[in-house]
Amino acid sequence: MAEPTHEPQAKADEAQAEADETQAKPNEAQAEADEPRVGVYVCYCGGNISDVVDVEAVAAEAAKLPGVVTAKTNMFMCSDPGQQVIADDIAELGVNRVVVASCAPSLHQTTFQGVLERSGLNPYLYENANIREQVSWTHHDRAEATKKASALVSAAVAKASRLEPLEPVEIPAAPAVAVVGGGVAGLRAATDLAKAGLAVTLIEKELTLGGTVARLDNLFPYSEPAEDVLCRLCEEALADPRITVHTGTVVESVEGYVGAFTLHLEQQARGRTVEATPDADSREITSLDWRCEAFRGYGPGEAFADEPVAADDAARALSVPVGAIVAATGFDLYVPPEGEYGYGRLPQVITLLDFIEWLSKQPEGSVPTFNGQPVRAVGFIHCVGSRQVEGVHEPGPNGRINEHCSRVCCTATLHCACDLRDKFPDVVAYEFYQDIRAYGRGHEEHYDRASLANVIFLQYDGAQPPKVVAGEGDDHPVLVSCLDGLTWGEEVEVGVDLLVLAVGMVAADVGNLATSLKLPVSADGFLQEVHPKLRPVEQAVNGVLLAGTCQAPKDVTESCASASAAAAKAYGLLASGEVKLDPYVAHVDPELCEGHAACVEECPVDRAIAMEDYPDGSRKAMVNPAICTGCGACVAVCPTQAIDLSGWTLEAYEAMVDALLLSHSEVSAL
Amino acid sequence: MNAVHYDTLIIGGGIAGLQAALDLADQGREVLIVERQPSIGGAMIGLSKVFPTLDCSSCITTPKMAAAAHHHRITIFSYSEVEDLTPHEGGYTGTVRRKARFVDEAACIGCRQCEYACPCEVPDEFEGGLGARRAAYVPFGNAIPQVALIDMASCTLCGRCAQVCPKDCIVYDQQDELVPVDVAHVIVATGWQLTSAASKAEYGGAAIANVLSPLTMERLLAPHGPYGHVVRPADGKEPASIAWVQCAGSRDKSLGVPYCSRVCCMYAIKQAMLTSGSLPFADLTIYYMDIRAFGKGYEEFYRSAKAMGIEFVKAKVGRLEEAADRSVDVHIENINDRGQSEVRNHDMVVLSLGMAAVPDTRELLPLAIGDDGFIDVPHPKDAPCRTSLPHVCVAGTASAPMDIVDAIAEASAAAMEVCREGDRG
Amino acid sequence: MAVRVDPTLVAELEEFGAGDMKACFNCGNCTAVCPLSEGDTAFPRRMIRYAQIGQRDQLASHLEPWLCYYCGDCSTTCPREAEPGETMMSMRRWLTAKYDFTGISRLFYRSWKWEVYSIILVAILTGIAFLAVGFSVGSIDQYGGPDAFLPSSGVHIFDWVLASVLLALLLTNCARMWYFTTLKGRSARPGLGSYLRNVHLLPLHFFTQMRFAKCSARRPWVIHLILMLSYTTMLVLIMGFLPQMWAGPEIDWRVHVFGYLATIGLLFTTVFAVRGRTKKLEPHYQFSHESDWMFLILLFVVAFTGILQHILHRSGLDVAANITYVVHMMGVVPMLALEVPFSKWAHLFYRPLAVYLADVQTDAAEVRQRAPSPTPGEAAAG
Repeated sequence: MAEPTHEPQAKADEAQAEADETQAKPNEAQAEADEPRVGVYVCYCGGNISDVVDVEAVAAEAAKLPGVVTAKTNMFMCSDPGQQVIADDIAELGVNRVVVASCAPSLHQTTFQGVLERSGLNPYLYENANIREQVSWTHHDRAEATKKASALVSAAVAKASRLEPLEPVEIPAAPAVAVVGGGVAGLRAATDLAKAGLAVTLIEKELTLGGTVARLDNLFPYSEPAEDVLCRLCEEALADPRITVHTGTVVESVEGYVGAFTLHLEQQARGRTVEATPDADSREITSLDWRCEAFRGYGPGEAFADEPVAADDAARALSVPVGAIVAATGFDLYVPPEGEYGYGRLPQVITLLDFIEWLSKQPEGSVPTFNGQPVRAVGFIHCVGSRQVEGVHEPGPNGRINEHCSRVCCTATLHCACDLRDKFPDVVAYEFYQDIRAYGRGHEEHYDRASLANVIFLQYDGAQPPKVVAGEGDDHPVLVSCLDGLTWGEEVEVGVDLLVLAVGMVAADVGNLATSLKLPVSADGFLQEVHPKLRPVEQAVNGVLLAGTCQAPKDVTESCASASAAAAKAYGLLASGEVKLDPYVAHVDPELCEGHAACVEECPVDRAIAMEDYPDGSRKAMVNPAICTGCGACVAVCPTQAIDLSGWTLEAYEAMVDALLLSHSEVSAL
Repeated sequence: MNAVHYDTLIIGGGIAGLQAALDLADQGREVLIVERQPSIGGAMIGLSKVFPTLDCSSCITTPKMAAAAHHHRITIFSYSEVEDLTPHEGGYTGTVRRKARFVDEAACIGCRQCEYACPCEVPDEFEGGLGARRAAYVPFGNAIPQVALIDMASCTLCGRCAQVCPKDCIVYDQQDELVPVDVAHVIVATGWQLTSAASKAEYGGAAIANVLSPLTMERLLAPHGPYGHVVRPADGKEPASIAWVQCAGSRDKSLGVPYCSRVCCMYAIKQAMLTSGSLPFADLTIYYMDIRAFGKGYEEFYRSAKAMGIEFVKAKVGRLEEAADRSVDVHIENINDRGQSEVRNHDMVVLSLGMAAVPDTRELLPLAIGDDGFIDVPHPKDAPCRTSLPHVCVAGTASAPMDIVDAIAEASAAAMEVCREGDRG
Repeated sequence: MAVRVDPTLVAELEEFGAGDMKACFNCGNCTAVCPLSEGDTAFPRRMIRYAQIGQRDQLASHLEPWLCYYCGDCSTTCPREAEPGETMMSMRRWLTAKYDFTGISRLFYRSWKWEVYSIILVAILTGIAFLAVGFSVGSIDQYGGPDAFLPSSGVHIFDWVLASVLLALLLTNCARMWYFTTLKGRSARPGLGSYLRNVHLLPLHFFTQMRFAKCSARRPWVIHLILMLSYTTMLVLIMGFLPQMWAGPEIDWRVHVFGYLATIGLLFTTVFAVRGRTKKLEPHYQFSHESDWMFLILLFVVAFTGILQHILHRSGLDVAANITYVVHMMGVVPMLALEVPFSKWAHLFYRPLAVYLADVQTDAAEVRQRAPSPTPGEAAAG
């Protein structure tokens, strides 16, 4: 109901819920017992359908089909008035099966199921005929399109007549979440979930928290010290009694499904665990818990590597039961192959992260030095390992080049150049770029600052990257040149004492987590979200959410926003205590099952079907409705037709095919 | 009237407001959305397709709109504005002005008979000024609520709509209604507005007919736009060459907009790609300073555009002048060529205008506002949606220019901030 | 052959007044907006880019800085507020210093103290010298006639000597300009024909500044034209008609009317410009280098004392007239000896020459296109 009057909403809700319940039961019983009374509703879709399909004719034909008690049309079936037509028919005409011929179900299936539910009908007594994507958007001939639409509608009616009420699969959801990754995204997600009332287990593979941000100095664009941001996040996480923290811990494997996952973890000897104390209001943190002061200066795996292992420390295995998983596994930095821009061959060629660490260690007020040599000029090259071009760049270990943009490096490089110029005004800075992608709030201002600090910019084309050679006999050890677009393509050269490669973000190897869960990845190697626009933090695997850079390159702000979003989704999944899944899953009729196990062999999803021992000694197939994806492969191979899909039965398919053939044989409907 | 109590008030019914509302409602909280326009959907419902997936914008927005409209925990006050908000310990009390539609909203079935009968025509704002609407009208085809309203400023009170209305719901003397509300949390999702096309005299100051704003171009490209085809407004001619002028309202201190609007590179590339589908023989050129294709799939999208033959010229356009045949002369320096001065001619030009802040929330809440007009937050790195005011969060473009993906992520993040505060309203 | 970036030129140009050029991010808007930038003669970004990467040779060999008339459209529309107009102005100063072989120009531009002290010194010396001469050849109460304090014939000779020195310096510098921009390092040099065909452009541009009229704002062109014509008129009158100018106390209308018009022109335009610069009323008045002020102040002082001594003489106050005349010369001599060859004045010659040479180069390019083999003229010149 879009616009109710101003009665207290909660009371109206209660009344509605009661009414729904009482109505639902008799209606459902009726639905089972009675003849199917199908209502067909054909949508104009604001011209999207009616421009090509004769909607009125389709409705007229549908009205003649067996079981159809009414066939109507509407300009926008999904609009309120359109939905009201259906609701009215359910109430007044006793319609108990609904067919809507409109756009794809992915858009409005839930909308129309909602109408049925509100009217007291089981929502799974709804069927869609897609006459937009499958007809009006693909065909041009009006007569042909109308015939096809009619055929699809008749098939939908045939199926609808055979629909039975179904209940969603309800799985009890453990009110607990595992957050894999203790960088900014993981920390943010963990604290959000804990504050919302869920138990959280934070798992970090390194011995310290903080991820890559722990290696940074200050963050663009406000030059906030990375340490401040991390300390805030760590304090919150460690002070929250609902969060268990395991450092030095990796995920070995994952079992289960949404609402009931089990993560099997392996913690190394030096790893630390901070246990949750759910009854307490807060928790005291000791500095050993997070070792914040140890943030700077360590590369991955370096922290405490030389700390002696205490006698009672040992590696151990743990298992954690949770209802949802937030993947916050972060990213890896691109490592240039030897020779790319002189990396690995010329000692003066380093990465941006190396530069940040180098700059922070240089004492103020004196000439900076690198390997004992004075640094008078520094060059930066953008897009190293990103925006690569086929035939120009070497493919990575996975055999592919990185076409993607790593998003943060332009602003990060500008920021570093500004920091350099601020600290050492006599050191010249050069930046070789393709496009300056300083897109975010405060980023363009950084570009402005860099220009005003007399950073000299040179523009190169992706297909002709800058050339780096040793400066034999030159004043500077390294010479970098490119065909400078800003100087109308002339070859321009600079001499530098240090060359910094702005290396990009590549997908981190999420190891066993990804393989256990079979998490899909995008073309660029990062974890794939369900829909890039509408559902950026959700994964195809139900119950797994994506936070931070594991999904795509992001800066700290964007990582934290996506982490909170992932937390919101996880919380939404688990808040009610149970997870509801669509009932379109396979079910076995034990009376027909002879234990051939052909279904188990054919099933593409691990553990969706298993052979179970029955008390009478026989072994029969049993479907786990939480895992089954309803693909129907099992139905195809069962020799006794003992297995079928709820909501998509074999019988219904046969009726649909019959209906399609009938309508195409030009024999008018009875 | 007693104040109606809600857990969260969301100011703005665009994609960010809707996403936040759905997240909160799914968690069991009562949400009130107050939307200033007569329909929810914000800017997104008026777009043609979205980058980089090229989904039809209406098709991905209407499910969210419908879900919000039908969610039993979400109340939507459309054509309404928040008049004032006063803080108290547990949240805010305030007043919402429900502007008079001059139509009984509860009774109206959106049949449009009033619209068909109305004799007064005015330029249609939804269509960017192209095409006309009536004084009595339903905002657009997939508006939610699908309810009529009367634009009294253009109405002649002829009475025809009242005569034909089958539900007798025209109310000529309807007054604005002031509704008191009491909420525990507020999410500011007031969105953005386009920077002004008129502010740059060198671009014709909005006086050249065939120089368009990008939202107007969206309507030309939209499947149910004003003409159903891309034609140029001045004379209806099908353009043989179209140019996009990047940074026409951003990255320009001389216009007072020094910041980058983030989305214009991508929307221009998208519009060019859609246009090449709609006008396969047209020459399409994008004049830019930097191409900011930074997001997931964006660089790949940019490369496809180049492969499709769209020309990218690094040049900030200096001047636009109307030629005798109403085409547009474009003055540039062709930087990556020989750096020569050129005057190129195009049938139609689209200005890639930028995103500017909507200033209204300043009067309602003492939020910190940056120099760029957008809302500032105390911890922009680790808590981008948490404002300096307790119980108040910000979502979407109200806090900075951003695209739909980031707005949706931030909207969910804002919903999470509300959850963190613990107490339910 | 790769061009090596030299980051020091930017700082050098900043000494000549280019305060904001670092902000330039090479968008090309300035060149696109400039009404005078056409085809391959594109500016100002090209020059700014050369400066950013330290290409001194390129900067010295290009005419574009002189083709700019500083309408300021580029500066008002620059998205980075990098002041391309003022950057071009500073390049003109740098080039003036470059063309000058003495090094005095460079000294003056980079240190206003040197300029001011030199002017004051020369002024004082002039004052002393003129007073000394005056007292020795005549009496201070005699303006004209045999006992004149400063007899016109003597002053006339002095003026011509001064002018010759100044002209010699200017012409040498012009020759250097020609060398740098048209001859040095060029494999293809314009033939005599190109020079002759376009020679009419020299006086044309000198007297009309017609390219300036193409800028979007007309008033700067008008003001500048008045200033320039007034100055030239005055110069011609002084150099060629000094006795008639001086004769009196009656007014010789055939000569004096021009003087009055020129004086009004000079006073009006200098006051207008001073006011404009003080209040930053127009784009090209936003920045005022010391050389800009010095130019206006000297011109004003000279014009004012000039008309003052004229009025005083015609009112019979000859002592005051003579003293004023000495002061007048204390302004004229530094102006002509120091400012004209070494400072802002020099653009009087450089700009029309630049426009001329640009057309010569275009002409020569066309000739080369039509006739690939070198003409006898070109072979002779090359």
